[in-house]
Amino acid sequence: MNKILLIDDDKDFNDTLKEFLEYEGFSVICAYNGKEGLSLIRKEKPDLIITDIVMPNVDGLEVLVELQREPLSFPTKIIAISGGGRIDGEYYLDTAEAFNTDYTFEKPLVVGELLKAIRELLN
Amino acid sequence: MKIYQKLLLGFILISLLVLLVGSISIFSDDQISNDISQLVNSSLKEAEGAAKMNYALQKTQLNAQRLLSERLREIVEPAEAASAIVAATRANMEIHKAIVDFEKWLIKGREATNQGVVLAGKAGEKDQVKEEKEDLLILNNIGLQFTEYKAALSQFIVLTKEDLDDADEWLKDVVNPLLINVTQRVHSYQEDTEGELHAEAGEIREAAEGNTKIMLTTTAIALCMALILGLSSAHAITKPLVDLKIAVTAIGAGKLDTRLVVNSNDEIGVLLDSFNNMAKDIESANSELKNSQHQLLQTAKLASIGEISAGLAHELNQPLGTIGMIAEFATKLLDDSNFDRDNFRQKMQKITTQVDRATRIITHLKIFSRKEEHESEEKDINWIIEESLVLLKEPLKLCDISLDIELGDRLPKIICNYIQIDQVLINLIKNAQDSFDNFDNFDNSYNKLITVRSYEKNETICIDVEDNGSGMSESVVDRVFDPFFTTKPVGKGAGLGMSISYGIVKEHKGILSVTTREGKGTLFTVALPMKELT
Repeated sequence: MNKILLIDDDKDFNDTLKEFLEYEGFSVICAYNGKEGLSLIRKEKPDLIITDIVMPNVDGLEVLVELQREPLSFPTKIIAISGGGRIDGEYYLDTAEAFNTDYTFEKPLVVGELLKAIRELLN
Repeated sequence: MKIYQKLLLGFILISLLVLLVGSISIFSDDQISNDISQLVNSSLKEAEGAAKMNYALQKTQLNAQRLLSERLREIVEPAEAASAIVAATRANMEIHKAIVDFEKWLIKGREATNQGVVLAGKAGEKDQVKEEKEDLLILNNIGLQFTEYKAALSQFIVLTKEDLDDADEWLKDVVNPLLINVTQRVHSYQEDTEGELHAEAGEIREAAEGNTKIMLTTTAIALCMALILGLSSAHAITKPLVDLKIAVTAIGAGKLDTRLVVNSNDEIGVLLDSFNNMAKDIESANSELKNSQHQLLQTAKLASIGEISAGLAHELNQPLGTIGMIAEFATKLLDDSNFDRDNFRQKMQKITTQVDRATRIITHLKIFSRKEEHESEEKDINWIIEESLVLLKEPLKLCDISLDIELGDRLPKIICNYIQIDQVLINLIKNAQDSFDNFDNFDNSYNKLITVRSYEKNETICIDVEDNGSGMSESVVDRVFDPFFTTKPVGKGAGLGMSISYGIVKEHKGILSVTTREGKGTLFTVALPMKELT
């Protein structure tokens, strides 16, 4: 079973997405900030990482920078999501794309599209 | 009427009063001196006449006696006859001269008395007229008696030429009694005129005393009138000035609807009118100022909303994203052959929770930006802090700023306009957030941190907003509460947040203070009184 790691500081969002993806048949683990996310990546070796960009402490971009700096010993896919709150919100996603993310999404999410992307990346 | 006209009129009135008093005294003095001269002219003349008549009478008696002695010497001593004849003739002449003198003074007395009747009649003094008429009767009587005496004396002179014994007898028996008769009458007349003189002197004294009284009375009246005039004009000038002083103090104390009653159109009236116009202008300027202050407050509030709107969109996106996701999930659950009713209900409840979350943000935004005045009410300061952070948590997160919240336990509630205090906190936290702009700290362990604390201290409830950002230089701190003072780039704030916050805290009778160290950070403290806001 494919393992997905969710990194988002918004607990409601994270938990709901987890439940949804589990319902769709994925194994899901959650991290609520970038730091926790990084340690779970190395420990759990997920097949797919879905990370929020704007977070307190270590944010999504830092996670991406860290993965770039020290490449993983196993293959993994990355989807970046941004709150898109700022006028330059897209800029974050552009930056994220530069760090080899496979897909980028803006909140509010159309879950169907996310699911489509997840299935595409994991099959 | 102008004040100088009033004063001029007052001085003219006083001068007229002085003139009146002077005229009365001069007139009275004139009257008295007239009376005196008339008295001298009439009464003294009468008295003098009486004395002269008396003297003439004595002279006749003396010379009658001498005539008789010289006739006797002529007969008894023939050797001396010649000198005796001369002496007798001289005595005879002296008698005639004395008679003429007496008659002359009698006539003068009559004339003086007649004049007295006329003068007293003119003066309307009836008693005086009566007395003078009585004097006239006495003088007539004296005249009659003297005629008799004169006849007897003529007979005596004839007898001295014929028979000395007869002459001597005539002198003793007829002439002398008649002389005594006349002398007594003249004497009593003399006494009478002296009495009149005394009486008139008394009258003059009375008149003089009366005159003094009139002068004193008119002087006193004039003084009183001058005093009243002076006091009333002084009152007319000072009363409005005292009122003006009170009104100026009232305006200074903020009672801007103070107006003065203008009763006159003189210089003071014009002054009071100007004061009223000035007070009106101040009042309308003040209301305009209040109005624009209110608008400024509103503008500043909207500006803060604009500045935090980026974070706000993110904040709203979160629940909306979650709602969308749950909705899709729930739809999927409906299609599931093993439809789990409880699970579906759970999803719907989650949607409600997220809607509440979004609603809370929107509600806060709506209340915050609403234009009408909010009333003061009893609020928990920790609740206000939590509310203001609703809009700020996301923007801080976006800037990678950690927020440390240390709320005091069981703090007493305070009476305040919570929307305004909310605005103060948003301003302070935004200011703290901006202090990290262009601030580089190369310490590896450095984290951007804003701390919000609430606690009780010295009868006040305090809220600290502390950052470890750039801090402020002394020159910036000095002006931090000045309106339109800003160190931020154009478009990042009008420089009103701090001054408006200062005004709001002051309005709550509290204190907004600041301590800062350049390169280390800044601490703003809002201290609000625990006592009821009045």
